[in-house]
Amino acid sequence: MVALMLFGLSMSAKMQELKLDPEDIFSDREVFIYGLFDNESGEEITETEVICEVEDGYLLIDDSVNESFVSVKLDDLSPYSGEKSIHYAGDYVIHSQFTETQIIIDAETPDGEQHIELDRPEGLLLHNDQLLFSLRAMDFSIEKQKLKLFIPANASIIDMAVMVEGIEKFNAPAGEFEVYRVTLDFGLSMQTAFYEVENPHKMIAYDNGTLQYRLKESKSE
Amino acid sequence: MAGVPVPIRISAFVFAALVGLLPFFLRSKKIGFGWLLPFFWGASSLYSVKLIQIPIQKAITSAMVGTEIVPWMRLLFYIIPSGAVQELAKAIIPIIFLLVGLRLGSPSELWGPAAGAGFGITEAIVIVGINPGAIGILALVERFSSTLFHIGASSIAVGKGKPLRFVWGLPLAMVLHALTNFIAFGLSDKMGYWPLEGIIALESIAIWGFALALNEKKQNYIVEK
Repeated sequence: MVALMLFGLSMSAKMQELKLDPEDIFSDREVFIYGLFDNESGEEITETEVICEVEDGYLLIDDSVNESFVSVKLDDLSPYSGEKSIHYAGDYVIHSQFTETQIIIDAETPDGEQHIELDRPEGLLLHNDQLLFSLRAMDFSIEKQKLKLFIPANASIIDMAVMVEGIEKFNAPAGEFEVYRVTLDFGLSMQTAFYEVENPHKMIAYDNGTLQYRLKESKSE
Repeated sequence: MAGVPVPIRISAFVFAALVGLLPFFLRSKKIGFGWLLPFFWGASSLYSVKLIQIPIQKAITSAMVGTEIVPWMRLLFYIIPSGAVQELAKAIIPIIFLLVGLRLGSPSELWGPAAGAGFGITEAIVIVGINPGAIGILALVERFSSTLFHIGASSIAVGKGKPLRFVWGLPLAMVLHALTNFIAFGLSDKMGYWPLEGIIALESIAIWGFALALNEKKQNYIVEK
């Protein structure tokens, strides 16, 4: 067990930190419509609309089905604030505010209001609800990169790695695309995202093990 | 609140602890009140999950990020601390007391099962008993078998308090615990909840029965001439 941890830590130390270069990636307003397909049955369950909008130096990401809204600084894609609704054993609304040194979380829960302050770790940290759309700005020529991820649902920060596995063809309802297959490694679980090879690297699909998001339509304004 | 009402949930867990402990008590000529100490210790040792197990699991999960370790092995490495930490936490005080000869009026073979019962019933109450969500019969079945499991595993770990027993009993309990969790996690997305809980319940009963068999007193046969 100790040997594994040392091995893991040495591997982790070798990995370089994720670098995001948002230049030429985000336009004024983009709308993505994804079909959500059940991995077991293959049937489309519902669809979600994700709006990415550039406004006053911020990128605003609004995901309808996940009921999440994140604002990130456009220059380095570091998070500024987030709001997420969860409906599990009651209704929860989780607000998060990011400062240089802290993450301040205010949650409305069925048991009343909660306030949590977390120390912001050094290095790149992303909000979970911005992850998929921020990775469009990553350098796809680097095989493995690590980052820290803030999970609003349990107010925790986890380590993760993004690994570019290769280029392949992907058939989505919006058409056939040449994509990068990117593994999102959370340590215990892994997910896969597919980004168009062509700039601005639209997310064509995302597979969380249970559901697959497949691009049906995208509009840039 | 939907599902099984809280008083019925808690009564079910108390019943599970009684069912699990009863055969151990019935075999003892004397019961006394000393077993209450490991029982309450077992209950408080649940805190080891938050204090020790989860931080270790978090560190292991972080260490595995970006490595070539295959998924089933990642799960195994993640699961191992649950068995190691919980079994050690439940058994440590009974082991120390029995090693120094303090039984407080209860036979040594009751100390392990009592610690397991305290842990099992507290865990059941914390996870399911007072959970604000809708709790169904399945969750009660799961916690019922889990309480039996904890009683059996702690009995295997502590035995009658002889030093040689800890050398193999505690590691065996840790391995059985980790194995049970590994099966539960590993099969959770491969079959329905009821068949899975059925497998876990059978395994828990088998471990509890094995602990009972290990705990059996040696009979002195008198051959009449």
